[in-house]
Amino acid sequence: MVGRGRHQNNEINAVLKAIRKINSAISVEEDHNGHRWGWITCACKDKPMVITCTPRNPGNHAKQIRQWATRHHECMSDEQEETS
Amino acid sequence: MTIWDFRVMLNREPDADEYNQLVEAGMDDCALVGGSQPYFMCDRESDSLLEAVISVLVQIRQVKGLWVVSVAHDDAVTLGDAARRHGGRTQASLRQLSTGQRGPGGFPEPLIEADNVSVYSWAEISEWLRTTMGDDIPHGNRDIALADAAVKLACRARAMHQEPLVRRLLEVA
Repeated sequence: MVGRGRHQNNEINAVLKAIRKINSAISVEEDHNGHRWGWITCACKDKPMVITCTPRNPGNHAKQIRQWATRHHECMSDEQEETS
Repeated sequence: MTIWDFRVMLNREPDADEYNQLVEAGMDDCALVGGSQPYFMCDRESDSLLEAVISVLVQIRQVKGLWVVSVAHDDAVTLGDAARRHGGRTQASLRQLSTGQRGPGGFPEPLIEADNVSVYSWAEISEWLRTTMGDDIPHGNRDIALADAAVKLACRARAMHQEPLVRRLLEVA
């Protein structure tokens, strides 16, 4: 059994965990629908990304998640400025 | 075969059923990013970049009313992606340059480091390789530019209901 909020693939799970740790603006929402495992969203509300349950190559899907997170890297500092 | 990374922008966001249909059609190597300008981040294994783009377009067209409006490269790359785009350097060579084991140092810093993998800006890396190492890297990928031009032409032809004539024009031109 895989716990709620935890992707069944270790590589994807690790990158989701790492991104949540370094960027507080990013959140991961488990929302199963067919091949969709859930969403990764940013506080900026722009362009949420679909996390797949069974990607063909988990390593590449983990890389795609990192690429998406890269584009939202600046949102973290924006959020910190707003809260301070 | 090589895994080619690129992104295809869509005319609209597919709904949940359409997304499942696309994954079952073979798009389980692409990640959907939604919002007002939805796109797929693709990592497609193929003999050439153009064949990789074509195979993605064929799968997307299986969903009625869904099509690609443009094709582009993603700026965020791993060193493996950067080596494939460069064509003249291996991933190991770029890693040595990035760690300062080789070269003069000053390789661009990664944009993000997560789970022991670093993601860099291709624009920054390619500029550094051009100016510091003297590498001959074109400013845009020719195959991506060709695919993008073809997709945009197809979109215009579709909008003007002139698809058969434009197809014929391409054959005879």
